[in-house]
Amino acid sequence: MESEASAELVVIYLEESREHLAALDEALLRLEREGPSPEIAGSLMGPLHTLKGNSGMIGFVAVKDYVHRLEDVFARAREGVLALDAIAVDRLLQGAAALRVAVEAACASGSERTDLGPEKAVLADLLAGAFPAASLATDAPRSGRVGEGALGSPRSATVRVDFARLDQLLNTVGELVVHRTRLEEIARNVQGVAPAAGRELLEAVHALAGVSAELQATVMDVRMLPIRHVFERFPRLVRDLARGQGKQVELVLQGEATRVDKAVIDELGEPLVHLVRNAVDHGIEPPAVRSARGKPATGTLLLAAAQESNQVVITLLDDGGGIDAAEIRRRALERGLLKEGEVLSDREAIQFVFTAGFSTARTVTDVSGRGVGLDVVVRSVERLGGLVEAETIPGAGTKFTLQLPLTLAMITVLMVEAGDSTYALPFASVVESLRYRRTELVRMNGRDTLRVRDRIVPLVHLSELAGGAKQSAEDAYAIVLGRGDKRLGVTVDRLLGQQDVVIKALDPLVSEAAVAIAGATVLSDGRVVLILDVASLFEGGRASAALRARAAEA
Amino acid sequence: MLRKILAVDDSALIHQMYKLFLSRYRNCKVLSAMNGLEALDKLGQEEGIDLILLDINMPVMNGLEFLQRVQKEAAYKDIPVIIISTEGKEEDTIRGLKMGARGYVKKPFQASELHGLIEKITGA
Repeated sequence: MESEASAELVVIYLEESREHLAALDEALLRLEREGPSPEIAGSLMGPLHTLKGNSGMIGFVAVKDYVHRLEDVFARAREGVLALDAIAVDRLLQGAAALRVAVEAACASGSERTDLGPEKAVLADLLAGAFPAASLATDAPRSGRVGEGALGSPRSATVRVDFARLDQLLNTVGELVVHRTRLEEIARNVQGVAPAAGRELLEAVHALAGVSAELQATVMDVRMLPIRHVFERFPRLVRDLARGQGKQVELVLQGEATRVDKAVIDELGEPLVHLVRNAVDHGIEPPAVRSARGKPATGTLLLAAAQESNQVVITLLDDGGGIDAAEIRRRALERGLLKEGEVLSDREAIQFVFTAGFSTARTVTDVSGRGVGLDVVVRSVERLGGLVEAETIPGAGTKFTLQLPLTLAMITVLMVEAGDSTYALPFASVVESLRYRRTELVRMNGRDTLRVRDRIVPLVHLSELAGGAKQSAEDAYAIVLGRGDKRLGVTVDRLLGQQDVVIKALDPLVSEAAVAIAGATVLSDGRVVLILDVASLFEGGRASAALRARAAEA
Repeated sequence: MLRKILAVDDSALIHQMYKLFLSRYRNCKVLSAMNGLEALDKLGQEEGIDLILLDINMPVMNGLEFLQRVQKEAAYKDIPVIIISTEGKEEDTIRGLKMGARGYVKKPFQASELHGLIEKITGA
């Protein structure tokens, strides 16, 4: 087979195999929880059979052979000849993990890296120990529909498309919308000169507008996947972590069908794994401690997703020991993050868990505490344009809330004008916008600040940041941005309004330099408008270089 | 000459492989169905299907059930069916052949094996 063709086949193979392996994990975890069940064993026959066939076709013989034996095991279990007890399920889970590694490795390198010999031997033992060869010839009736339901709902006709092509499609649709707006402007101008022709043109443009809006919505929807794709790895992770530490943890998943842009899905795994690990490791107490505190020995971890307007809200709730705010204050003082005498509410104090290198863990386990802190979570979530917050009740548990955009391809922005340029600010970060007089500014620690009710808000003058002239207008607008509990004001000359824009990827050279630029969008007149990156604005001044470069260009 | 082949399988990988394997039949359209029910729909929608490649183990409606229905329909029963079998399901293959399938290949198979069988059955 052509090497290019086979690379494409491997991609499809891997994607399908992951579905089948997830079904295997899920069924094994159910067997572990619910005890031997012919029905659960039977549900695996379809996925395993397809996995075996596919592995053979792609030439991964060791995987095919292993899955073939696995099929035998579950076929016997379905027939009731082989009872899968806790020990057997545990060994099957180990085997499933090895199988997953073997499949991923084979796909990554193009050929198999292991013969799965020891794992196959385990299956042989399992089959041999359960029934002597003489009784092998069972002739149980076979249902022709065993595969049904194994993958959830029946599969419909689907086409697999490279995600880069969807990106390209969305980009093109974004351009279509830009041209449509431009056409509308022309049509209005024509109407002034030749009313009848103008009206006709305008009608045609409106029809086009309807179609392009629908097209845009469809393309956005095609990019969405259920969040189940991220969640499905956690039952296994939680089980393994809990076992490793002698804890009992039940993971409850909610809202798995919530649909999110694939680009968000791809980035979400890492921060969630950190939070889940943290919850099992530091949150949920060992059974003895829980019993002593009058709690059930088994801890509960709730991982839920829900859509709220154009955001997805992910909640991770544990009923563990909670975060000790007093301990956090002590550590923060010790590390100079907090000044003596500075007063901090419990809620404010626990946000320190997101600070780099900050840990209150007394013992270092092999799970968390590897020097990789929750600051990684903040960084990942902010990269996605989201927010993360922690709440805790000592003794009762901790809740982490992640707010993320449903899509990275489109964003609601506030268009503003500063100097002679137009900029876009992500609307999700805008707390309020207000008009102020120059005389209201107060100079503090070398920078302008503005009093907004009971808070002193530091200001960034956008035109100065971009290297332009000092803001001259007597009156101007301050856009107050929020990042966690922090506030920052960005001063601009004019507010142009709120707008949904398609984010265009910047030239890699520009985006590498432009730390404070989240992306760009194209206006109807063809002008490129930069979308400011709120996180970098808070970190201060890093915008300037890139913005100045742009100002020099203009 | 082959004009239309209906490929029935619940795996996207296998459909992609058919596309490669069957590309030698120029001007032949390869129709894909993910299960027996979808395959029945395709039979209803498309005319002039010359050959059916049929997987047995599929959700919603499996290959044997599909075959049974096809054999009852005068309009479809003469379309040759090749069973795509997998190790360990030999008895299903035998049932399919008894029900009227014209031949079978077993996964994993090479393109040449499929070509040989198609040639023998359809003369193409």
